[in-house]
Amino acid sequence: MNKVTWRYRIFMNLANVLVICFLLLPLVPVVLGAFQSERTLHGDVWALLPAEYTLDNFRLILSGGENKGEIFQGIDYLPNSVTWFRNAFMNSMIVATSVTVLTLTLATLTALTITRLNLSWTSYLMNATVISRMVPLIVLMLPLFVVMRNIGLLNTLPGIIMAEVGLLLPYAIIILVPYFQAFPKELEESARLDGCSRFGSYVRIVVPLSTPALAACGVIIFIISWHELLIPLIIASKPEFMTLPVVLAGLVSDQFVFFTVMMAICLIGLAPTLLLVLLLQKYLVKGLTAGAVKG
Amino acid sequence: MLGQSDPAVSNGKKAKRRWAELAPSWLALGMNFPTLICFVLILAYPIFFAGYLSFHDVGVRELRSGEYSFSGFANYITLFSDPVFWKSLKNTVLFVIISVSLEVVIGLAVALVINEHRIKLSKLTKFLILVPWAVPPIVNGFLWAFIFNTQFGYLNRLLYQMGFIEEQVIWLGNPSTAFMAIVIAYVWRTVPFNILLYHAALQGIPDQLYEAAELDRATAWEKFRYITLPLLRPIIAVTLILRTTFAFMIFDEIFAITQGGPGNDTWVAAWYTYKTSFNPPFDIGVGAASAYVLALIVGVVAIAYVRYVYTKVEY
Amino acid sequence: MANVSVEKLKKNYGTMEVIHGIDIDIQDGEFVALVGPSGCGKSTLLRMIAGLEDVTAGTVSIDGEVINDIAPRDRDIAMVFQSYALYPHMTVAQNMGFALKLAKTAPDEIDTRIRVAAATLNLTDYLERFPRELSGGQRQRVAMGRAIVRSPKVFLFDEPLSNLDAKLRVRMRTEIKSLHQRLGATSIYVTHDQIEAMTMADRIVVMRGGYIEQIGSPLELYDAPNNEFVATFIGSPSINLLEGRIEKDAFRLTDGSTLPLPDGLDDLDTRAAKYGIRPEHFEIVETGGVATVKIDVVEPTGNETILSGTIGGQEVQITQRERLNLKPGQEVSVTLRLDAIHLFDANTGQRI
Repeated sequence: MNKVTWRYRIFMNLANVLVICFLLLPLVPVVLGAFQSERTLHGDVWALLPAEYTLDNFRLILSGGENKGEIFQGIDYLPNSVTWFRNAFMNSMIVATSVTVLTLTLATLTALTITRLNLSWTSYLMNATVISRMVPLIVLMLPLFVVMRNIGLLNTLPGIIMAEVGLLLPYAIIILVPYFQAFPKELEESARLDGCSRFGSYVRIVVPLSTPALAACGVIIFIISWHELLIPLIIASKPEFMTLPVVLAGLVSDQFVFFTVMMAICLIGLAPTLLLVLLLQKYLVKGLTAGAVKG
Repeated sequence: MLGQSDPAVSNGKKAKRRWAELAPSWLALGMNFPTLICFVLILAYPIFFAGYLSFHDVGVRELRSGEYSFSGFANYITLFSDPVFWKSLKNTVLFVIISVSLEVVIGLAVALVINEHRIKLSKLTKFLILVPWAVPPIVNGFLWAFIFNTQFGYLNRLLYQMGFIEEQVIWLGNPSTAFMAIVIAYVWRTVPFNILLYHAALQGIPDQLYEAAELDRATAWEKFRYITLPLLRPIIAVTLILRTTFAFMIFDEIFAITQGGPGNDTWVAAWYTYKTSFNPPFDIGVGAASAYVLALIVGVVAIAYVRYVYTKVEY
Repeated sequence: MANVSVEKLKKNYGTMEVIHGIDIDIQDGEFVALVGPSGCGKSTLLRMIAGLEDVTAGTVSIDGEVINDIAPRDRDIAMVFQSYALYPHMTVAQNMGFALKLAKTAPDEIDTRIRVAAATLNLTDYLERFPRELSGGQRQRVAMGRAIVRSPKVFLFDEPLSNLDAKLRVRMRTEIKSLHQRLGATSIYVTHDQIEAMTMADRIVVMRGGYIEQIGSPLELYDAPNNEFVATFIGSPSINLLEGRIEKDAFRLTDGSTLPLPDGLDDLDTRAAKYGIRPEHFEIVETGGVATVKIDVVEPTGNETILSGTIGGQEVQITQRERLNLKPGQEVSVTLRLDAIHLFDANTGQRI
């Protein structure tokens, strides 16, 4: 086990290079596409690298269609995605942040009761949670649409937020339960003898000591919410309530005219979560693993 | 002062009222109240309501008025006599089988590569593992749509530069290549999850086992076959079930890459539901029925998962 | 300062009863040890006194007031846990001051109390450290400190020394005892280690299977065990129990040889019994012995010698203060201290 032959070393390094290519190469076209013009893209259909680079795609979307730059000078029609881009980005931020905070709060409360209080019905709650995690979203879409319409939350951000909280809650609970399970009971008991109520011991001891777990769970929830397409697509059809994925989905019919713009939006759309993943990789790995096999 | 009861403090304590603590069951109920509301409103009620809708005649007009007339199994009959539904279902099953197998095989291979801590490059690879997972599914769809695009796609450019092709290949216009394009896009995004779990499991295998096998003169393959694989079996089972349920719901990549095309050759179950319910002619009842069929299939797999993973330990 | 009493206390887990109605009265300032093998209910009892477990039936009271339904935080009880349960995100000082802070004690008051307690426990230099930066013994002290800064009515200890190595354990034993002598606070101490109980406690409660076997001072338990269980549980090496029958004026071993019975116990009915004699109550003599021991193993420990052998085919252990030059296989003649002999009924295990 200790000595590594040079042949093995070369083989493994090659394997690593291959895997890295597999992970990163598919992202290259987005970057290249975002920094070139539609004309360059169609100009030489065989070239790997564009002949000319431009920032006009970003200028256009970041200005909400105001700053057309050279490329878009003569174009009158702009899809909703372009004019509503900034708004959609903000919506995505608001939705993902609220969903994260709310989901984390509710999931923490529930996971605590499942793990810290030995009650029979909370174990059923856990089973219900695991099953709900796997309910196909598409089944819920129709009724959710009707429910949201009935309570007047159709075409509102709170409607989107509420639906996403409901759907992500099971997953968050599943991620948190193993953490709380492993949390030493004595700390909580000691706090109770020191003058905390049961709930107080959660607030003062269990939760502060679980910040890594909560962070992991929070990041995962944020990312999934940021990625969510179907819920906002169905609940919010008006442009002012669109989130980034919906804006992108709207481009599906315009993609042959605005392909490079679409790539620019894609790049901005994937940047926040990519950044989170790379920065918080360590926490995420723990959270994702715990969520599948309960630590 | 130690030990001597401090009069000021004790008096303070005496003055304070003493409370019996809230019984655990009431505390649990209070703490779970918001969660239960969410479960009922966003999960339980909609599931039942979807079932209800699937037995009623529901179109746009009924949705507006809120009055649905009972139609028995009419929606299911419509559904089962629709060849497109069967095609969608067949595509879905095929998609699930191919993509889940690929996820397991690629996941295992990559996990073995990054698990080799004696190779420095493995650290970098490990750091980048989650990159595809960070890409929003819809973005992932467009990303691969770009790669497979006929006129200006990067696959054609690359193959041309390498001298494999002379003319542009129409990847997404051909049913089988379009299908494979979706599989590749989906697997690329989701395989990091498998890699992660396999890697975690690999790290749990003690080195001594391999050292013992080494002394028993096991070859690398034998070590994999007789130590690694059997010990990974539980986690492989978990990922098989878990990934199966998720693959059944494939939607975003279909939406972005093919929109079900060419023709209806890449329709899948979720896409069928979406198209029938939210596009003209808005056959919501039929959509609900198809969603329910999908839910039943996934439900069976889900129950298997719960029994497999969650019954061993009590909460 | 308080007396604690437990009356007809029962505990069920589901349908299983683990504590079967026990009564204990603990006087103000007393140090009581609860001992017994694992699963005997001693920890459960302690946790019920603390309020961490519900009481199924019976009462727990402090100073005559029933506290069954009072939350742990309002019981004015401090507990030292086996794992110490130090809050990892707080410094030593914060750990010690946590309860006072929650009780809204004035900050400078908290500060003085922490300093006094830290001085008592030699922790002054470590007040700003975090638990993870301390050794096992230091953590143990912090756990103690956390309890004493509060000047609670009652101290509870749940096997506080079992995570320490043997040497440290002996030292902490002495420290806890001297601390108790200084503070004079009512203390209840759970342990499975009879030596800890013997050395530290004013009174010992021996428990088994959810029942109390005997309550008494350490020497009472040692000298007059109520039953076979208490006799074997207390004392190390353990008491020798030889099987046989009481026959008029002698005890006949299973192989037919006899051992003498003490005065006052030599007029009993014939019955199957066990003859209990502690290892140190043998004396090896040149002549005039009442029994012969065949030596199998000789274990010198320095201050005494432990001999393992057989009397009438039954295993016995003997400890001798003298350094003896004995060899395995040798047979020696012994006399017994008759006033230290205990007879137990073979069926019930009760003392005769």
